[in-house]
Amino acid sequence: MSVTDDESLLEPTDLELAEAEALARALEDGAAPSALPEDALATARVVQLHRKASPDGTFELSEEARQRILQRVVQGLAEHEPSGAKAKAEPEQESFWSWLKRLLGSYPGLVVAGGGAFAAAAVIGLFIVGRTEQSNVAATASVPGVGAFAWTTAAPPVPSVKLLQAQAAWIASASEHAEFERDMREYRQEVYVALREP
Amino acid sequence: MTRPARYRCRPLVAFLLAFGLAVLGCAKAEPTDDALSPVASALEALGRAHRLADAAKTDAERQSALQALDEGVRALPKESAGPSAVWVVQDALARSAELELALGHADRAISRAEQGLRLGTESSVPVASLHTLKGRALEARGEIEQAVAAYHAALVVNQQLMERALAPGASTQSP
Repeated sequence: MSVTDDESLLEPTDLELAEAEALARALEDGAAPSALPEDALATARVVQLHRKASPDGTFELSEEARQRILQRVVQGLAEHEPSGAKAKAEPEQESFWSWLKRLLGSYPGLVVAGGGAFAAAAVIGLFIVGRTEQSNVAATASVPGVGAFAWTTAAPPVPSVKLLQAQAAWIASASEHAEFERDMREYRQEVYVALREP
Repeated sequence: MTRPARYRCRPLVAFLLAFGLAVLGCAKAEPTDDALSPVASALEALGRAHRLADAAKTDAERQSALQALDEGVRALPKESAGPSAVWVVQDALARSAELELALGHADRAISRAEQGLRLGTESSVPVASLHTLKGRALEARGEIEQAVAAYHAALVVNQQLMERALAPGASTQSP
């Protein structure tokens, strides 16, 4: 059913008619309320022009035209709501989580790609840490032949008194080198063996 | 709205890439025996170099022994090296100084001795040897006073080691 099918709906109330006439007069006096809706203002201007166009200056319209114009004015007034209601009608600000859900819903590949990138970064980090530890282990760990403890913390074995006496003799005289060299060879072997024990 | 097939494949590609990296990382992080042998192989090389020095009778043999000692020292891992590692390197440098002196290179002998002493002067047999060989080289250059000072330093270290060796309860480990 269209609006024009029901004449009763088109019939304005006395209050609405009075408002429309007041609006037309206000426009004629140049004092139209600024808060009026565009539709109401435009319609009122039409009424104003019709009034000026009539030969005797009176406002004469056919009943049909009057009804149509007033209908537009009434609708315009009805649609003109207070500013608080207008603000209420504005869409609410979208929250971050709803935005994120909408984004991920639109691009599910982002979830997988992001997860993949995170996993890759973690793997690369573990790889670097693993290589660093491996390098340290290469120098220090207990391996066939060399023990980490010996290489990192242990002091060499105490030299024998015999070796030290031979060294003292060599310090005092270069000709006493042979005995020191022989004892030092044994001591060196002792140190190397100690380094090979875990 | 239907997306093109090339866009639908992107998640799969990303997943496969991450999976491949994970497999690669795990495979590389696993220690292997080959990665754990540098210390052992370096000590083996140094042992051979010392034997070459023991047997060296000619200048060419001494040069070969010198080269072998240098390679052995270079092969030693420097990470986390403790006093034993310093001992090994100072011993090799003392042997190198001795060979340089036998070759008539007093300057090089002093240089190698000082290089070894820069690693540390904690009392040890190699440190006493380094002082002694530095004194020999200085003596060869005619710098007698400095040579005597070097010999004195060597005797001080030797004396400290002797006191420790004779101390009651001296264990198999030196400080």
